[in-house]
Order: sequence, then structure tokens, then C-alpha cells
Amino acid sequence: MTNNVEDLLREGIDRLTTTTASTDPDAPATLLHRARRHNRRRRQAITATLAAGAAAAAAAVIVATSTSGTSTNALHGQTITYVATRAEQALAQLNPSQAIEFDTLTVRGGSFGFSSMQSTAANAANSQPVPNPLSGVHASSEIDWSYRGVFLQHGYSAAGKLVYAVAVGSPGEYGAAYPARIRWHNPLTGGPDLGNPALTCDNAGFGWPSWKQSISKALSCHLFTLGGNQQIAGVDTIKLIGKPLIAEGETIRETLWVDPKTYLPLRTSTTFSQPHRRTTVLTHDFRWLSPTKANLASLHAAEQRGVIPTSFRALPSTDLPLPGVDGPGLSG
Amino acid sequence: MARDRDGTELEHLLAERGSSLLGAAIALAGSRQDGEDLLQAALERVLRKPRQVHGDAEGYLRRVLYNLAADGWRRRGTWKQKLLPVLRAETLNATQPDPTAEVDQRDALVRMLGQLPPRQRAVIVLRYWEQRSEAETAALLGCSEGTVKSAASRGLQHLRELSTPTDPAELTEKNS
Repeated sequence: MTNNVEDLLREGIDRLTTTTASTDPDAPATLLHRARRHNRRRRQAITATLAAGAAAAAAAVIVATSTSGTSTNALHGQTITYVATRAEQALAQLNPSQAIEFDTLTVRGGSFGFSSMQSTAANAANSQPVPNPLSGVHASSEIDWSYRGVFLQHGYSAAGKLVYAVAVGSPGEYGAAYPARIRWHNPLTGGPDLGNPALTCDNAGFGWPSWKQSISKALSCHLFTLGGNQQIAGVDTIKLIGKPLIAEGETIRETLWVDPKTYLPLRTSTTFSQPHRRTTVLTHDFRWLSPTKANLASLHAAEQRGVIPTSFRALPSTDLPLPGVDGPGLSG
Repeated sequence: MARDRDGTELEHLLAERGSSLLGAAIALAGSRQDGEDLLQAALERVLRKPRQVHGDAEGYLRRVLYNLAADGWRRRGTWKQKLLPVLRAETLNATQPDPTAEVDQRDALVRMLGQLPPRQRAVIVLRYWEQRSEAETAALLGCSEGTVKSAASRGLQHLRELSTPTDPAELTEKNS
């Protein structure tokens, strides 16, 4: 080196940045659009934790069948491979045309609410941000039903009042937010590529695109270890602890409890945490119901509960409110 | 910026200061493509946490940018892997007199920058390209001035070592 290293370095970086940064003056704006789109996709993936197959509801209708029984003290002598295989088999044997998936969701350190997207292709291309008309809508619990391609999501206040109702099916997404007196209908046609990620070992276990598929994938990827037995609603469940997923400072942990008789999932718990922030824990309690008269009557009653008053203010049909969970443990 | 959930303020900022920010990202990342990825990652962070911006959006975006770079935002080491064969060839060729040697030397140094650990690289870019003081650099990277001083010293020393021509005869001797 004949010259001062600092000077040569400065000149070298100048050459690099002036020749490359100035070639496309619109590049920074393009990057902002990309960043928005990427954030939206990421939020969409997290929302899928709740949505549990809203966009693929048909695949999420699950049947209650049971595999052969075992001892309730199931963990003795069982390896994670055995439990995971049995659970995978139990999920695979669910008949998607003959059962009702009933799911109670609760959250600690957060609340249920909405993010908002637009479903026109033109808007997706422009990546325009979407004001969220439902930003003030919050619920403390949610009950989901899934049966034959119809997916219902009902959010409730701590006092048990219905805060919102969303139904997704072949006519699109219908919904109402009761305190805000807002209703919407999005036909879910001609919309943008929402960036829904393919199901891989990296994103398995969080409910996308359905709990059946997501848990099956996570089990096949060997993402769980045995965590002992734990009593849940009188069942001596087998607890499976998922490997943490760490993404951009956020740690997401999934825990799964399976019924030792049927090996079907009874509960999942997703913990979102970030350093120096409160943790948000989202819990799903599953019931896999046979379509008996009584169960179908309950489902019908739930549908009736989510009535959408025409007096409510209607959002544009391009608006797509997405129920989700928010809390200090979640980024984005 | 607290109200700027939709990033309108960022749009204005990028319209005015985008080239400078992209330049910094390229300097930190070592190539146009990686620089764009780095700046996009920083924008994503800012869009996700708009409430953390208090007035100075550019300052906040730059701080995020530098810290992502210092944290080795990808931690893949691809730069190093790609550059090693090139560097080896360049180091050997450096013994040959060449009229374009000085230009090559500058470019080689910039590429060698990629061999440094991410934090040293960020410190070098801030100190010797952006001409920031030790105190400013420390504030931007959230570390002490002492850390900046030692990272800059080590980084430069490393660059000097990397840029010292290796005698091919010596290599042969060592290898034999």
C-alpha cells in the first residue's frame, strides 16, 4: 500500500456507492414498497396463526375419528418418534367432509383485533398501505368453527359480549364489528397474491394453512420434544415442546398437547416474546366434533349469533379485515 | 412519525435522501444488491415500529441500518466466501506493477472490507467514509467510544494485513 489506507478506502467506497447508488434514482422508493409488502406478508403469516385456514377453509374441516386406544399414562416407554408418528397418523385419518372443528382461543398479554388489507390486484401492485377502520376493535377471546368449507370466527369481550363475527366461505368473507357498528363483505375474488408462504419446516406448527396440515408438518419435521404428561380438562395429555423459531428479534415457541387415547391435538400454545417486552401467549383449545344433530345445532346457533345488521356502516368491498392477535410480544 | 403508520413520512424522506441512504447501505453491505436488501430490512423495521421514531426519521432509519449491518443482518458470511478466491488472486497480482494499481487498490480495499466482522465493518464505514466522530459512531451503534476505537483500530490493522502483498515464493516455501 503506497497511500494511506483510510484515504484509499474512502475513495474506494465513494466509487462503489456513486457508481451503484445513482444508477436508479427510484430504487429507494421501490425498496419502501417492497418493505411494506414484506411486512404485510409477515403480518399475514402471523394472522394465520389465528385464522387457521381462513383462506383454505375447505382444507381445514376435520373429522373426529380416533385411533386405537392406549393407556392414559401414555408417556411411559414412549419416544418422541412414536408419539409424533401416532399424532401424524391420527391427523391424517381425519375425514375432512364429516366433522366439525371447534376451537376456543384465549390470549395472555395481548388481545384479538384486526389488521386490514385490500384485495384488489391494482392495489397489491401499488403496495398501498391500508388504513385500518377496525383498529379500535378488541376482544379478549375468540371461538372458531370450521365445517365443510365454512369458517366462523367470533370475538368476545371479557364480559362475554360478542365483539365481532367473521364468516369465510364460498361467497367470500362477511363480517361485523358490533361496538364499531361496521360491516363488510369481501368476495375474495381477483385479489392479490397475499404472499401466503408455502408450508415448510421453518413455518410449520403455527396454524398455517390449517391446524391439521400445520401440526402434521411440524411433527414430520421433528420440531418437538417430549415434555411429560399434563392434565388438561381431566385428560392426562402428552405435552410436546416445539423448537423455538427466532425471527428478527422475536422468539416464537409452540407447545402441543395431544390426547393419549386418540393422539389428536387438544391444545396448542404459541408464545411470542421479545427482549424487554411482555410476552404474548395465544392458546387454542381444540375439539374435534362429530356432526351429530346436537353439534350441528350448536354450529347453526353460532351462525345465527353472527347476524350482520344492515344498519351498520359498510366498508368498501375491497377492504379485507383480518382477525388476528396483537400484543407486546409480537413484532409488526 | 408516531402517526406515520403508513410510511408517508418515509416516502418523503426517501425521495429526498434515498440516494444517500442507499449509498450508506451499499457501503455497509459491499454491493448494490446486498445494500438494497439491507436498506429494505431497515425500512421494514421502521415501518413495524413507527412509534419509536421521535422526530428525526432519517436519524432513526440510519441507526437501524447501521445496527442491522453491525449485527451481521444476515449472518451468512456469503461475502467472505465469494471474495476469498478473488482476494487471493488480487493479493498475488499486487506484486506486479500496473498503471491502474491505485484504482485496483481502492476497489480491493473495499472488497476486503467485507472480510471484516460486521461490527468492525460498520465502524470503519462510519468513521472513515461518513467521517463520523468516535462519539457519534458509538451513539449510532449503541456501544462505548472505547469499543469504537478498538474496532476501528483492529479493522484498519486487519485491512493493512489483508492488503499487504504476499510473496509467491514465500507461499511456495510454506507449502512445500
